[in-house]
Amino acid sequence: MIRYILQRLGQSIITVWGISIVVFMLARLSGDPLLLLVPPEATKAEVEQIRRAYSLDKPLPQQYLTYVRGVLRGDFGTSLRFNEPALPLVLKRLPASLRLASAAMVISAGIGITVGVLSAARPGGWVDRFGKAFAMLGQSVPVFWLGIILILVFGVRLRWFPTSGSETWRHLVLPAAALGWYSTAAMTRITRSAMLDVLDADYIRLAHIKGLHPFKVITKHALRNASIPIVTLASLQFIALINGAVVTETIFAWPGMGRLMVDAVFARDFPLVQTAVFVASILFVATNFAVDLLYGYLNPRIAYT
Amino acid sequence: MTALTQPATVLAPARRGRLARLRNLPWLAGSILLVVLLLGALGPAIAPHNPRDADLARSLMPPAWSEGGSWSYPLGTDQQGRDILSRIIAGARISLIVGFMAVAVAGGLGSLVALLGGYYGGWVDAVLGRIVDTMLSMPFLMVAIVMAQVLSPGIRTIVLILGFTYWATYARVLRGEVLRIKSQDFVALARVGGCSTLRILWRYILPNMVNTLIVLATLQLGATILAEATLSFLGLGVPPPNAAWGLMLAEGRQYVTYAWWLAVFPGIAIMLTVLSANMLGDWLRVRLDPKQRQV
Repeated sequence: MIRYILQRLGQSIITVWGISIVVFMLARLSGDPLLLLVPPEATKAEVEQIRRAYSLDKPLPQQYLTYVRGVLRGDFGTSLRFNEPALPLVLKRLPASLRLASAAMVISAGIGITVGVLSAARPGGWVDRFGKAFAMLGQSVPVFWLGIILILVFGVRLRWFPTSGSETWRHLVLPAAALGWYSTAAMTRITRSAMLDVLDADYIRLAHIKGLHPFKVITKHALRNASIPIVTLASLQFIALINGAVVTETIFAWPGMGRLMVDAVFARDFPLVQTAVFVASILFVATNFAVDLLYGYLNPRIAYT
Repeated sequence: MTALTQPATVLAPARRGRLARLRNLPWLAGSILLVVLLLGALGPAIAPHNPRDADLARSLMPPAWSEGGSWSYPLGTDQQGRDILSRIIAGARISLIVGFMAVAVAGGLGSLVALLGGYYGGWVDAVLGRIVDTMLSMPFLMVAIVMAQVLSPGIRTIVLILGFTYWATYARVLRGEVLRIKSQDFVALARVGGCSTLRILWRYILPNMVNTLIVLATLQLGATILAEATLSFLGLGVPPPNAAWGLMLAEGRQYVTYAWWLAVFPGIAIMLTVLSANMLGDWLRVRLDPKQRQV
């Protein structure tokens, strides 16, 4: 077990190292990142000064080492637009993103697990058919379109919910619904399939035969045993939610990390962009690591190799 | 993850006869996709207007069936007076080109990595595996956004970006296939028979993983088209005055409160296309890949 954890930890560290290379290279894709850093009206002398200040006159490997040394010290560079260290700027926006993603998670897990269980209880029934169509639709609707439609219907026409800002829970409803939509489809499918697997088992048949109420069989016997893939997928969906938050936050003017990142991209604030991508990636890696451990904990039959 | 002990579940009662086989085809998905393909291929020939023809005198005309609409602009006009139906038809071509080409790039690169890693194993596999892990651990949308901003905009750029952000999924799935095929007798026989490695990979392993590749590519086609629309929506995809669906939504966004058709029709076009690709992919998965039937 300890060996397994250490091994996964080692793999995660290598992944983070790989991410640092990709993030570093992203800003240099255009050839000269300096052109992204300086304002167009800068003089030649100013350009050279900035070039030296960012060590961009050094060879690439050396630049990378400088970057990594900074990152290891927690120094991710300075935002050009805000003229402040980039990392605190990103971390300050992180809670808002996590709040939105959590709300979306609650919505998608709530609906997805309920519909999935009901579908599996009666395969081919109307809940199942409706659920299947819903899941198909869920994975085909663009999040940004759904966001706009939600704003049009519930914000503009019906005036039930505000369409931008983040002060109260009412602000959370529309963005969370738009963001959670896609995950709801995935949760429905995996719950249905996990439940169908379990419902076929002998102990479920026994529970039925001994006269247990069908509701109890499903909630107490089946759902508990089907929970492993469901919990795993739920954690992985959290990653998808953080990814999708980029678009949702932009549409609903939600003050999270995703919108900060998109704004920074348009402002050509590359240190800030790099930091946001890096922080989001670390979140990904950490979640994956946690899922692996959780999976092993929930299912002792999984061999640690 | 659910395939621990389960026997294959029975999918549908087997129907007999040619008629029944016809009935089991994915008619809805197939016809939607066919319509989109035709629109994309014939595009300019059947569009009622030039999709870039702007005229402010007829801007924001509602669809034909509402008050103030006209049948010469069936789905209405946008803020610049351009015909929405013609722009949606033009957008079909962009979505399809980007979608298919990005899937080809990603699928090609992913297959290559899978073949090399799966066949050679050892340190090659370890290194490639870590690279795949790294790619899969990054928020692909963020990476795509950054790349789109740094590189000069255009269809080719978008194809490369989406190819680059999606190949790892193919590599991960197909590597398992390569491992499975590699261990079978006919590959060992080919090796004993003196086939070169290249020949084994090309003639024996690749054809046997094509089924999985096709299923994956079809399922990814929808995701890729969605990603292109998202980038275009953010203003980082196909540049104006092109008529990409995502771009239409972005351009019309500030008018949607009083001109709903600007947002609704391009969105429906995206949804129907992606939906039919996904349905087709699901159908193919059941047909071609018995291993995945339960997912």
